Amino acid sequence: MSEILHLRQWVYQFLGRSYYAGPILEEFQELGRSNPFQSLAVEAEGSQEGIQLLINFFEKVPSVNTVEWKNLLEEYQRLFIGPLELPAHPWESVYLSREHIILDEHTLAVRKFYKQWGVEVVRNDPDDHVGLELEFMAHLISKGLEDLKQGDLESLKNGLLAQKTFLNDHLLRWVRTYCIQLTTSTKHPFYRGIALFTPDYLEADLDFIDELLTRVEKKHNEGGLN
Amino acid sequence: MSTNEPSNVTEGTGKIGTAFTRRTFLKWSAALSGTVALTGCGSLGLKATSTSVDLEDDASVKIIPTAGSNNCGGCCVVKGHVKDGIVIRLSTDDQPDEPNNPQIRACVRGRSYRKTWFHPDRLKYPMKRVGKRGEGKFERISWEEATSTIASEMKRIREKHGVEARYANYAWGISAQIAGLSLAKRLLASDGGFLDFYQNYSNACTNNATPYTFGTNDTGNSYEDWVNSKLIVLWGFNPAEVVFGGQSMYWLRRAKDNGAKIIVVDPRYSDTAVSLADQWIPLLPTTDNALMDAMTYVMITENLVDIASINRFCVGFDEEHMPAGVPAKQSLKAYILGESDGIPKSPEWGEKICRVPAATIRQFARDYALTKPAALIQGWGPQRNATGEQVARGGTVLAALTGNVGIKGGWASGIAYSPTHDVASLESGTNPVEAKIPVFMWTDAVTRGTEMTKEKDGLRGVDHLKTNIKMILNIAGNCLVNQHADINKTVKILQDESKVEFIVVSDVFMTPSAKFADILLPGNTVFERDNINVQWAFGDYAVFNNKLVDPPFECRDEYDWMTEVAAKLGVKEKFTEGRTREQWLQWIVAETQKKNPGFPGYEDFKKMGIYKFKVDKPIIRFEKQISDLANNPFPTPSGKIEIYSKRLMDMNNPEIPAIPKHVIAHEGPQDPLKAKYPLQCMGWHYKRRTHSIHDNNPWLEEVARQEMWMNIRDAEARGLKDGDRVKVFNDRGAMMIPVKITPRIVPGVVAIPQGAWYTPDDKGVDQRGCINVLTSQRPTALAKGNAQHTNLVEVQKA
Repeated sequence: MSEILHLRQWVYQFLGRSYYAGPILEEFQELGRSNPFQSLAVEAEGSQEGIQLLINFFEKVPSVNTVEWKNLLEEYQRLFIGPLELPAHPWESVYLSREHIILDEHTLAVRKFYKQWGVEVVRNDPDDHVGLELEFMAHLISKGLEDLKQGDLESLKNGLLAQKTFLNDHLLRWVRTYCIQLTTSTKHPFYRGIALFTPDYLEADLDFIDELLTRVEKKHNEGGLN
Repeated sequence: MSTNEPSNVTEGTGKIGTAFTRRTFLKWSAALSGTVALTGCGSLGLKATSTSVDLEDDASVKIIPTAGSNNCGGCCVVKGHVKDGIVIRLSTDDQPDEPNNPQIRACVRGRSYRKTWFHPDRLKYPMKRVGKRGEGKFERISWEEATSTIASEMKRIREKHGVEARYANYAWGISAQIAGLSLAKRLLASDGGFLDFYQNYSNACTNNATPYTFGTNDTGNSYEDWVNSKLIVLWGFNPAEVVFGGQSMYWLRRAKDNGAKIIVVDPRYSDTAVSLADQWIPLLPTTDNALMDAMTYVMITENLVDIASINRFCVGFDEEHMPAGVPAKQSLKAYILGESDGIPKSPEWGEKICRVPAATIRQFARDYALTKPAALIQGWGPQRNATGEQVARGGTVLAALTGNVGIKGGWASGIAYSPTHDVASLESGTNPVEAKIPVFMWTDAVTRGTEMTKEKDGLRGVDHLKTNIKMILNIAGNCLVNQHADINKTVKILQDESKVEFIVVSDVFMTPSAKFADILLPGNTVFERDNINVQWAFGDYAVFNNKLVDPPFECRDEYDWMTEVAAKLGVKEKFTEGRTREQWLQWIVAETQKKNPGFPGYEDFKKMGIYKFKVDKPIIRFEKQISDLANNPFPTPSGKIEIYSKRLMDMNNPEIPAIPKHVIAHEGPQDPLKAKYPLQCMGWHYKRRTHSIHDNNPWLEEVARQEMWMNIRDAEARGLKDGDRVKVFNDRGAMMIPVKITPRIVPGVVAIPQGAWYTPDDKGVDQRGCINVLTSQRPTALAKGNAQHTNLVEVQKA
């Protein structure tokens, strides 16, 4: 179970970071060497285009030249920073609020959720940025890993339930719409790749959390983890 | 597998793809575990929180008063309902609505502030330009780099070209007692000085011309006095859309309920006319004085006016009451009766020029002359025309002829500032440079500043400029491109990086002006800073714009980053005088209290949000002069109302006659250019925007979309249907815009609401309908003001 949680945590951290911050060359080179999406390709039955884009992209990262890297940075700025209109807005409230604005009651609900689980946003950014919401999932999973270590099944279960609630109440309500918009707005393999991959992954992860919950229940009834 | 294979996520439909299954995931995790180190991705945007969660937090909503502060005449009350640093809804004035103390309720603009100010496309981070200027290519930088660059460029330009090369562009996006523009001037002044301007884009002609009649610009009664009028003439005045002082429409409605007849003179059947007018008198733009002259003819020939009384208070009505040294037949009467030029200014003469039927002119003249008291209230639209000075002075003369100056229910016309209470503001500080340019001529000061003169170009303080403008600070304003005339010309000037070498723009959005920044800074909004504000012209209250929330992202207040720039230039003390922003606001309140006993203290004012000055009785301007002229002369050279101005005569310019009269306007209906461009094109202030602010708010576009008004007759001649997208063009530029075909506009004239954001296609044709692709940089004769309503165009089906 720990392996699975580790993987889930990594995926959420990777995605969260990809949306929230600009690419960092050393990190991308590391991913280029390990190319973790490679081993997913043979198994993934859906979502292949996104995964394939990411595999191809990371394969080329070790030999990336200055122009290609600059293109990636510029694409990040165009999609997430501005100053021109962002082709797809990465905040939940823009999709779900009545006025389609940033900083709305949806933002507050996300902030409250974060606080209940002991975290808050570092910078002065709206809490419901897709990258922050994904990073928050990673945070919940890391708590789960801690619970697992401590053998605290009750807490592990609560954490999984929180992940499920957060997915249902927040990420799954808007990220697919956002990612479709992002996919149509970029030709860059990396951002197109994560935009295609993310919503499918979130859907799958919801099923997966259910599976984990069943396992935890079972262990609980059996009197603990082995 | 090729990346060209179609995705099984159907784009645009939201259909859920097959995704991957639990089995896939398990295999993936098994494959990765042990083989790949999943590292390098620690947390980034979240940190451990120390604050606990209040689960029952509904009670924590605070209602905080603020108000508009972006150069809307109303600055009406907006209340923010704030929860945990987020504005969750807005409301407006909910104090008792009493007849003499009406609520200052927000209009559609104020009520959609959340939609505008929390727009997801706000500017978020400081940027430096990386492409060609105006191309829109920027790179994110730190605030540290931004303020260092600004400081070093200010210094470089000061050393290379002198302080006079530095200019703070006209900008009232933050229109309040601490304004972005004043701060920009203050920063430049602290560092040695800058080239200043005088006047504004709103009322240059009236502002400049009114004192030639009355000696002052304080010519308005308080608007509470309108209930005493029997007849009100709204001459190009449209407060239903331009909220002009918080309560103009309210007091006009009260006057109407009180029995006043209301006549609206306007090329358009405006929203104000729809809601108030008993009669609409449409005319062609720039021909107002032909109508006024013909009215005067009727008044004189039908003996409708009290000539003895006119001569007691005025100079220049007839030959017997002229200033010394003026040749014969120069009086108003001589001109009107045709003694000076052989042309009697009869209603039939007037009709040919302004298109108002002679019978209507006669009736209008009789109504205005005989209904006592009557208020002829001019808006500022008619004077934003090529002959704007004449319209302004013409109104003052009509008021004087009919005995409506200095009386209850009358109105002296002119700019009609009402002597409102004096609320202090943070000033720009001492500028050692004495040179001032007329604000509208800043592009001239960029291209040929050193050639500008006092006589030709209205330069003040000096005979010549030492340098052209080389650097511009543009803080919360869209006059750099969008709101200045002749955008295509302006853009060419700004694109030439050898002319203006450095441009700083701070704004909330990527406006057409912001695109031309070298350093582009994300500003804060009215919700994100404390300020104090007062409304335009009449209406007597002050508002406290409370800060509701912190600015998001890296948006920053101008006072804050300018203090940093000042520190880098070694002039922080001079810039701040040791005060924080809040201390300046406290200073403003303290100064205001000194002049206005009863004005609340800082904390009280902040809590109240609005303070209405106690007015014992409405102000009647020039009451003293009219009741006792000998002891209370008008502040003019003659001490009287100057129908004839010797000061104007001495200028010896046929476009600036000594008496107001019809002057043929370039690009008016009598210009030969009409053969090529047969339609007059004017603008107006639209209810969906405040100047160019809110143009990106889609709710307001639903309220009133950007469209051009055209009379049915002109549309038929061009085979146009209502709603057609048409091309509007002249030699200066072209735009595409939907046409609204309506009887609400006089034939021969089209009207385009001002303030739409210039959006050129790759051929430079504006796709949004920004009127300034059609307007001209030719200034008016006397004020050197903007004549942005005077344009000839042609319209074609696209």
